[in-house]
Amino acid sequence: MLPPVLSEKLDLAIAVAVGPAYWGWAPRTALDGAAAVTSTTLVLVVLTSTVRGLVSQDDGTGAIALTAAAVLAAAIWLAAGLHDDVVRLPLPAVAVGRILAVTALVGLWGAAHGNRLNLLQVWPLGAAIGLDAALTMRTLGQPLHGRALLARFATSATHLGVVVGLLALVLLDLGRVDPDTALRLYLGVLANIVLAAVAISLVARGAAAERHLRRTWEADQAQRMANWIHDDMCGLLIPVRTAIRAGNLTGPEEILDRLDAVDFELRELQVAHTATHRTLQLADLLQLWGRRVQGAGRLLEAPTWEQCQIPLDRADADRLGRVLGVAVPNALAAGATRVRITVDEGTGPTGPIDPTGPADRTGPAALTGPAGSNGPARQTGPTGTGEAPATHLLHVSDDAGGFDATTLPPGRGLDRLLRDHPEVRLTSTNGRTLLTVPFGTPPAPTTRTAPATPTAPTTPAPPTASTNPTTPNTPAAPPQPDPSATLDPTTRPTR
Amino acid sequence: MTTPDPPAGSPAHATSPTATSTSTTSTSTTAARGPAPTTFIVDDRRFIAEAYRDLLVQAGHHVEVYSDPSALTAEVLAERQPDLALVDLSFPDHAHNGLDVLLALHVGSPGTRAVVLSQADAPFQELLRVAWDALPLAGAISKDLLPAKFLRAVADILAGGVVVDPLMRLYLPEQRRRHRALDSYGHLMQHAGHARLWEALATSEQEPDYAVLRRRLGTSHNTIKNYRQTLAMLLEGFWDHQVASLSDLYGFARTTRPLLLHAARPHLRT
Repeated sequence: MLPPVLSEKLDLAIAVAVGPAYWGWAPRTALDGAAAVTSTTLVLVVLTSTVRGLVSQDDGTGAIALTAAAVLAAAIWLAAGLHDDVVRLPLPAVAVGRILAVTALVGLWGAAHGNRLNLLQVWPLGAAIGLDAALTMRTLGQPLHGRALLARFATSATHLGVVVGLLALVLLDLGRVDPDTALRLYLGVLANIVLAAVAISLVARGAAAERHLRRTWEADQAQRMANWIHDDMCGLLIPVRTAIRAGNLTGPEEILDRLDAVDFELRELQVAHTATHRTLQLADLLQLWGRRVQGAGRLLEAPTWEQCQIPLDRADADRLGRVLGVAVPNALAAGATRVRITVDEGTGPTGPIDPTGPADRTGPAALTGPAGSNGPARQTGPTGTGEAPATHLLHVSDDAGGFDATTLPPGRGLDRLLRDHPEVRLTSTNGRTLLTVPFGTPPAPTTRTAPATPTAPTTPAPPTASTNPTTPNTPAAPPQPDPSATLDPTTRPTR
Repeated sequence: MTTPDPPAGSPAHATSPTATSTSTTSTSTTAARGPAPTTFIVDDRRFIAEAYRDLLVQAGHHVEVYSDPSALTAEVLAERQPDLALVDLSFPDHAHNGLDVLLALHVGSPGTRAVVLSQADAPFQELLRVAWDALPLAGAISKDLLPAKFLRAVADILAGGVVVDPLMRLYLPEQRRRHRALDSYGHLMQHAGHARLWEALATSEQEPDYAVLRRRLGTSHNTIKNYRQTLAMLLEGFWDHQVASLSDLYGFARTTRPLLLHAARPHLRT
């Protein structure tokens, strides 16, 4: 049983020997990736030099065997250091394997160049080991510092052992080592240690620069957040307060309406900011418009989490945002008591709201609607021809009474939506209105047998505020209200 | 969400508040007359909590507001036994959060109708799902619900129903996942070593690395690595995210902290 101090040191030494991958290392920053690539390159430089030396030797069979051994040693060192699967191996096997691999590489390099003891020329290995150690220690949470390593080595038992060993070789003539060779060997060890320390210093310096950049970035973000609160949050609240004080908002209903509008704008900004740092999911959009429905006191039927775990690319997010931005305000303005939002996988449609209850679905016929009701621009649908295949369908339906879909006021929100997005289907029948929009891109086919599918119109939808990636102090422009999407009580249910 | 009209004489038809008392951690208000259900509101946003308090007091509830979730331990709740607890999940300025309170309710006062009352925001959806799967919650209500609907939902919950706000549905699974029930957290640790690692991860304010864990657990790097591998394997199919690194384990441990610590307690005692 070792004393605790020695046990701790041995544990750390073994931890460094097995390399970074064994501890679950993954390049978190560009610096880590660069260090790993540099380390690999340096090992390959040593390997190339070794192989060239070996194949130029006269002894063909021996050279081939030694070359194979050199390649194997380099492969073991690199794979055991950087490959994730190494964690499945026992720690002693990995540690011994890597130490033997490095030793073999040095020995084979010496054999290739006819000078086993000149470590000076195998300097890339020292730098590679330094980078490897730096990465390993960073993974373990104990970053190394090159200068400290040099100081520690100078006063270490290892250093003393090297010096005493070389002196013994020379003075006792144990290995026919002359003083010149011993000096070269010592300088070689020293040079490799120095190079390892330099490599470690570079990683440490890079890490310090990264930390500084991060602090600067965080300070910048905090400042942007402060500006955002000033510009947007306060900017939205001040007009409401001013209007109340000026007597322009007198009744509680008017104040509530204005506050609801402020809340909605803030939520839109929230979605826009979310889109700047991660891919939007369907739930991000649905919560926005679901709140609008509930805030208006209407019944909302919404899909579950499983159905909402659908990542949206920019085009889908824009299109769905636009459909919801027309369908929901229209339904509310038209007096809907219930708004149902559903999602289907594939092409199976959902019918308009049925008064019998939320579980009722009227099936495919619901999508067809009255014959020719939507005009030429609305004939193509998710199941029609000439469109890119979609993985999902979003349905927004309401019970506001329906309307004559053949006489949409030109230029209004719904009309513009259907013209801009011919893939959106509108059905208004039996007092119910249903908008269906396909979205989601199926994975690319892996075989070559299927012919290319004709693509849908590629004109992208104009970006909406709800999906615009923006920086915190330059948020998306406030949504431009659709003439038909307004909740202004003076504008009534014209679609 | 289906919430029938409250029957006549139910809390929703009760009268307005007459008294208010405030303590360091809670405010308590009682309705003037009638048998009043005792309702705890646990929310650190004072204005929000007070708005719900006033609403519920008008509906005839006896309401106590708690802004610090650590005040409501299982022992306290076992003594108080509220009829209803409306618990927010996010408490950014506290070491504890809504999940601690929901667990304490389950342990100390299982008869209480425990409800998540949240803003239904994406950042807390993971916590919401953890609570929903692990504990027998009586509902999940968003703060966007209009007062009348909120009171109907509360009445329905007190009558024994389970109410899920449609906005919360966006973040909740169709069915509670049995493999993530509270008892299942015990399967995420095979011995005291695992329990100690979970404890170390769950209680670390900052993501710990091997060096920190080694000091805290007093064990070798390799032992921690082996624990990491085993725990990541045990989490397969349990967590909704891929778990491989210490960082992944930390994310899981921090989200499920009270439940993990609850499951680890028997191991840690030994």
